[in-house]
Amino acid sequence: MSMGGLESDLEELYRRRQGAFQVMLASVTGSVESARDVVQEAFAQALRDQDRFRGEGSLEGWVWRIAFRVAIGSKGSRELAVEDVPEVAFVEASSDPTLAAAVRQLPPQRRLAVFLRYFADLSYSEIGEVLGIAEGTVAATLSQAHQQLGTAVSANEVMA
Amino acid sequence: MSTYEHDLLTARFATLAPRPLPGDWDDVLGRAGAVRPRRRRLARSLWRGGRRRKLVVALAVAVLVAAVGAAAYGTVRVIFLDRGFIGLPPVGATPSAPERGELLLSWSGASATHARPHWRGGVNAPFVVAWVYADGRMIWWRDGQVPEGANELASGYLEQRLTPEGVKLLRAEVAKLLDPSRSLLETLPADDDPRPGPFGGLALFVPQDYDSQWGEVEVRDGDRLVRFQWRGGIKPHLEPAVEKGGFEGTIATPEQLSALRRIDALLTDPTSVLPSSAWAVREVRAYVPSHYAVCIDTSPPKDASQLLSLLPARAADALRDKSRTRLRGDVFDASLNVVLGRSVTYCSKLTTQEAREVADAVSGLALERRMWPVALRYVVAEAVSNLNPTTISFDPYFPHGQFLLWGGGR
Repeated sequence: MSMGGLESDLEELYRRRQGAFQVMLASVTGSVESARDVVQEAFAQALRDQDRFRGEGSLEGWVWRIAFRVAIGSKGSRELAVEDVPEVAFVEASSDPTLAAAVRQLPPQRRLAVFLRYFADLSYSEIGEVLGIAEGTVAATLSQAHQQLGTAVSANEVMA
Repeated sequence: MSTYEHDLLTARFATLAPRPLPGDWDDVLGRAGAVRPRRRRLARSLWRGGRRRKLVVALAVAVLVAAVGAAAYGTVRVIFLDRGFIGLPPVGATPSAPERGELLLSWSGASATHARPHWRGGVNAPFVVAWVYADGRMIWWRDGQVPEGANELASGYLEQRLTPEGVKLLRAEVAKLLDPSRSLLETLPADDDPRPGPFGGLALFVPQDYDSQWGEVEVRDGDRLVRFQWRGGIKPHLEPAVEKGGFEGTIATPEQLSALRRIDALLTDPTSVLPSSAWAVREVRAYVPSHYAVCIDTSPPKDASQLLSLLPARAADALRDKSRTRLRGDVFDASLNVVLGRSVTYCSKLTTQEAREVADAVSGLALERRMWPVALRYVVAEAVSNLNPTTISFDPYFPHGQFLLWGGGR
């Protein structure tokens, strides 16, 4: 049963990137199992709502926004409110507790930008699209985040 | 932030990443109302029953596992290390011998042989560098997890030894494989000085879907070394002769690509490829150098005397009378694709013992954390604006008289 013209594009995106979606969203939901559920639901919602995709940005950016809305439960909201993103719950925080702690101290928008950059491997323009900010603002946000992470990591770590 | 620093941060984030569960497109269709629910329930029960495999991490732990082989060599005990290390070797480790060696073959670049699917999509082809010497030594480094490696992100420099027949076999096969690309071979200057980077020159352009998108091989041809380079990012429908980013060359033919794949296997995974008769010492040991390059890097450029005054007195005294090589470079922000400023690096060649004394003297300084998994580097002075901090680093010299400076020129 066909859902419309975007189904094959969404399926291709899903097959290629669902792992990245899970990894990124696990930091929001607190577990990879719940993140997987969010990803399944987000792609299902994208399939149902594909007529709303106007092609102004990338398909992936649009699905990321849906996924975040599903993850933070802000149903019906058109805009992603980064302040709504809950405290991160790294499922593998024990692997690098210093970095995990430093990331938790980032303000919500910086934190989200960092996640989208390093967990989701999105470009600056794609991050801008997801967060609804200009590419230059993404660069500045990430630069500030790098600085804050660098400072926090150097201040807290001791040589092994 | 440099590309290398970006890669290191990416690697650290990767250790925080959980292992994703298998996807199920039918389940998505079912949720969207497009598939039978029975299959959806089955699929969901499968993933819920799955177990996550925890990533093992020893990120900032330089494992200096000591002495595996302690063999009598005359009256001197020879101490080998069965794992790589970052920075200086444990006291008492026996240096690789002889100190000097004639370089016959080398590899530097991303390895298609070791490329693995990346959890974010695409493939990750780790950086490998390998040198083969006339005396049979093979010294190599590979990014990522290696059983004998120093940590989760890097092997450290490791050593194996080929028999004379093994060297001959390897050299002959690589030379034969390069024959179809002989028009792209370039002669290298014969000196011990570090070569500037990044390089330009002739290159074989490989397709975008080839796992190794960059690299170079060097081969001794009589009294000279010739270099063969490859670069990716070229679409196959382009003209046969092209130019890209300072490189000139031709699009790879299937024969050239197949040869490159084989060279990759020979030089980055010889243990799997070469017969056992090719090995004098197949076991992997740490490469223990006799000398280190102790380098001070700063931006914007400053005089060496000015930089020495920033060091603890004992370190400055040890370096003051040593001869220095001056390397110039750029501070480049890869994400913004802009040069932020100029930098300068002063390098002195010290014995391992002298380097250890300098390292002891600066050990009170903060470690450059972003480089620690791959290099021992201390922060001498904080960065000015968005340039790099002033650092002092310790990198081994290799038998052919060169060293690799991480995050900088070679």
